Formats: sequence, C-alpha cells, structure tokens
Amino acid sequence: MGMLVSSSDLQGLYEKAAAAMMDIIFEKPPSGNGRKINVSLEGSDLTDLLIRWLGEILYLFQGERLIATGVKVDKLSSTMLQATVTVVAFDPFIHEIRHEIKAVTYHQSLVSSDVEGWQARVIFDL
Amino acid sequence: MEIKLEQIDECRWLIPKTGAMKVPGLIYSNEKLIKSVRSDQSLVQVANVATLSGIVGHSLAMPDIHWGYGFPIGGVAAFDPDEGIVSPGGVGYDINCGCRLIITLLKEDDLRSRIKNLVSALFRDIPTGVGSTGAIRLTKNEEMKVAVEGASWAVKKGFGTMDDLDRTEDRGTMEGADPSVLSDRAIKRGNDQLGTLGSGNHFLEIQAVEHIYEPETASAFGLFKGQITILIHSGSRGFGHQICDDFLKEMSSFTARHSISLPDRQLACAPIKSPLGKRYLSAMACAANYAWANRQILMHWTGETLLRELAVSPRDLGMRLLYDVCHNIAKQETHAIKGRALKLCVHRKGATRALPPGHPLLPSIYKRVGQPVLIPGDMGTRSYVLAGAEGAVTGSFCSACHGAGRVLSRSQATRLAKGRAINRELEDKGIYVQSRGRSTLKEEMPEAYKDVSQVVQVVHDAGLARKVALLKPLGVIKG
Repeated sequence: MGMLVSSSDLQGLYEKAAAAMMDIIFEKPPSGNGRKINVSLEGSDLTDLLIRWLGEILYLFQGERLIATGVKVDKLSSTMLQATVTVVAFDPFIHEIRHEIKAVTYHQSLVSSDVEGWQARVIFDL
Repeated sequence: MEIKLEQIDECRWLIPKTGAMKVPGLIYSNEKLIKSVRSDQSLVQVANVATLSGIVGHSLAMPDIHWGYGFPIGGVAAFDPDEGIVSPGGVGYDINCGCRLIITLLKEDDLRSRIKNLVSALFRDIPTGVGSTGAIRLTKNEEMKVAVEGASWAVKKGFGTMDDLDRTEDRGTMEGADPSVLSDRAIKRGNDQLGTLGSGNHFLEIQAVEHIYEPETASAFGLFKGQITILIHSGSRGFGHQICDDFLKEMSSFTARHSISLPDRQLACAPIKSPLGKRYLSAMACAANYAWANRQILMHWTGETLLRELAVSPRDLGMRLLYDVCHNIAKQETHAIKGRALKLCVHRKGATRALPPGHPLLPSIYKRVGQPVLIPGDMGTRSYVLAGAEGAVTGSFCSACHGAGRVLSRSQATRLAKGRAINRELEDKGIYVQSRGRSTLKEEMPEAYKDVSQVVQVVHDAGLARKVALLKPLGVIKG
C-alpha cells in the first residue's frame, strides 16, 4: 500500500504525510492535546528525510505505544528536519487499527516539486 | 521499463543481460503463472537485482515471484564474498520469517468433530495480532542470549527437546550473531514479542495429509495419509523489522556518501567485507535466532493446548517437529561456480533452502531423502511438503519457492472481498478460521494468492524439489 501526498509548501508536505499515514493505520485517528516530543533528523536528501520522518512517527507507535495526534515541522532543509510531535498513549480498546503498517519503505519513494507545489510518493510494508 | 523475456523450456524464462545488468535473470514459472508475473513490476526487480555488485550466476526468481520492495518476493541472488554486497532489502523486513511443520499421531477422522473447539482454544492460547505481546518478558541479558542461541535457548528453557534442533535449519542457531551491534530500539521491540504469532500472512494451521506422492520419503518424514499436522508461519516480529529498518537507513546513507547509483533505493547495500556489511550480517543473525526461538516456543504452546483440549497423553498425541525452514535470509554457503567451490552470500527473499539427498549440511535423519521443503498455500486450499532435489544444486543455489505468492495486493483483495464473509465461505468448505485483525481475512482470502499447485508443479518439474505430500487445511488462526 502506498500514498501520494501533495502540498503547496514543503513543510506542509511532511506534516500532511505524517497525518495521512496515521489515517491509514487507524479507523479514527485520534486528535487533540497530548505530550510534546521533539524530533530531530538528518537525511541525505528530501526523499531520504521523508522516509526517516515517517519511520520516526511509526516507531513512536510500534516501539513506544504512542500515537501522533499532531505534528508541526519547525525547521526543514534538504538534509535536516526538526519537528514537534504531539502524542497520546495507544489504547487498543479505544484506538481501532485499520491497517498495520510494518515499515516505511524506500521502494519507489520520491519527493518532487512542480509549479503547483510539492508531491511525495511513499510505499508501506503491511 | 520493458523487460524482454526468452522462454528456455517449459519451466524457465531468461531475462537477457542488458544495460547495467551484470548477470542475466532467470525465472522459474509456467505458461499460466508467467502471465501474472508480466503484469506487475517483479521482472523489473529481477533485472534491478542483476545490477548489484558481485552477483554471480543469475538473478533468480522462484515460481511464486511477485512484486516486493527492491528485491522481488521469491527472489534468490548469490554474491561473491570479495566483490559482492549484502542488502537488508534482499533479506526483507521480517528476517527469518519461516515455516515449521509439526506432525502428530492423530488422525483426521478422530479430530473432525473437535476442530472448531480446538481452533478456538489455540486462538485463545497463542498470542496473535498487530503488535501482540506474549507471556514472556525478557530482560536485556536474556534477550541477548536468545539473539545468540536461537532455538537452543528455547529448548534449554524447556520449550521443546534437543531432537527439535536436529529438525531445524542450521539447528535453529545462526553463527555470527553479535547483539552489541543492535540498536536500543530493536532490543526494546524484542523484549515482549517472543512467543507471538503476529499478523498479516502469519498463521497457525491444523491440517490433514490428503495425498502422498512419494511414499518412501513421506515415511522417512513420518507422514501418512489422514494424519493431522500443524503448520506455523511466523518470524522475528518487531525485533527483525527494526533491525532491517535500522540498517536500511544506514546503508541508504552509505550509498549516498559513496555516490553508488542504485535503480531502487530499497536495494541499499554495503560490501560484504565492509564493517557495515559485517555489522548487518551480525545483526541479521540475531533476528534469525530470535525467529527460530519464537517458532520453537509457539510449537511448545501448541502442544500444551492440544494435550489439554483433546485430553490425550503425550504418547498418544505423538507430536514432533518435521522441519523448520526460513524464507527471508542471507547465508554464507558454498556453491560450485564454473566447477569451482565458492563461499557465496546467498540472499533468499521469500524462498526456501532445498538441499538434495546426500548433501553434507543435511541432518542424518534426512540425509537419504533430502531436506523437507514446506510450501504453504492459501488458507482455503492446500499446502505441500516437498524434498530437496539434485536440480537445485546447479539451478537455484539449492533454493525452491516459499509459498503460493500473491496475485492481488492487500488493498485489491480487500476491495474484491467487500460484502463477503470470508470466514463463512471457508466454513462451508469445512475450514474453521479465527482471526484478530478486522481486515486480515479479506487481505488473505484464497483469491489473493496464486494456485499453489501450479507453483509447486514448476518446482517439481524443474527438478528443484520433489513433491512428497499434500496437506489440506482444517482450521486456521491468524493475526
């Protein structure tokens, strides 16, 4: 399963991609207030950075049992991302899973731009 | 990208070496199966793998080939130890995902009326589903021991017998495991998932032997018509996924730093001899060992449930392991290339090792007949037991297929199954299924897979492995 994401600006693309991934995982992705976590990442280019960013959000769920309810990209360059992620604890009785994403793959991944803005393509391992 | 295919004979198609390909591609298939292969991108992936440094022979695909990430599923590729690379994507996320076939002395006629209750009991007792955690909580020290010792750790803890190790590929322990190379994240994800089945295509299936093709070999394997068997399909869970993910990212940085051009980023790799390549192989071995321990524990708990639910003695149950094989692995193996014995790094991503009779790596119990090759089909049709054959030595680096292979993606299957009650359809065929995930049964419905009989026939006709027995499903639990 994959997703195509578009946004008029680059920071918005990374924020939308994170929200879209949560929308794939959960029947009703939780939203609202929670604990804030700072994320800081480096990558070799924008595509690598996107895979690492989504991988980080996914790890919070897989490894820490935390669901990202909101993300804000604070700083972004072609090789660096800093963001604030709002999280709530995963409760299997409340948060129904729609699709288990096991990994964010590099396969056919791409971040590109044109006159209309930015686009991203990501394929997940289910 | 247009891929040219040349038919060699009724079982083999060649992708001629063109462009950046270092070797040709070779697909095991038949006229019917090759049509679905042409319709996805798996042939491009076979050609992509052929461009990787140090690949020898052919970039191979088994008849269950389908579109994967980077490498195709069903792909086999061997690399020269000096010039070659190792790729986490060539092993896959679920390192040492594999199958374990358990035989019993029970007969289908005795069990038929109790299958439904037994499926419910197994579903209750075996942890299944997304991120499922088990009854075992490992301290870090104990988890390190699992990573180094594999199935023998589980046996030492009372989950099985030494005899089980004789019937497990590599005796359930891969050498070279070094837990010091693991990330904290991998260790954390591994501490509570031992003894869990997982989700997706992982399953535990109660089966009956429906047909015997090769009586002498079936007898050596302990199989007889009407016998109840149990097939477990699981892997290294979040532990293995995290290890793959960690090293894919590291190797992605490595390839970028060294300006290595790859046709697909998921093929990120490092030279086998490089410090990074060696670290990955050490980490991968940890995950392989975790998976073998996992399946060993799942088997033990299955036995406990059977004894309790059926109220039989261990002697009457007569449960023992037939064999355990891995599907996703990179192994250092010796193969003959142009008459010269070379130690190669063989990547099997969705493929099974298949050793012929007499092979030096076979345990004495199977030396005469060859290695058991376990091929699960979909949950609504059948599975096969095969035995390794001589043709695999020269034809596939001693490899065979690993299952039926998907023809529909999970999304396509879910769309096709909309409005259908897959569990009821299976129950009408006498197969009782219980699953944890809401969409699992739709994603895994029989139509999502190729016809396993066709896949197995190609392997048999190509001389990679011989058909020994046919197993039909009676009950299944899934994540």
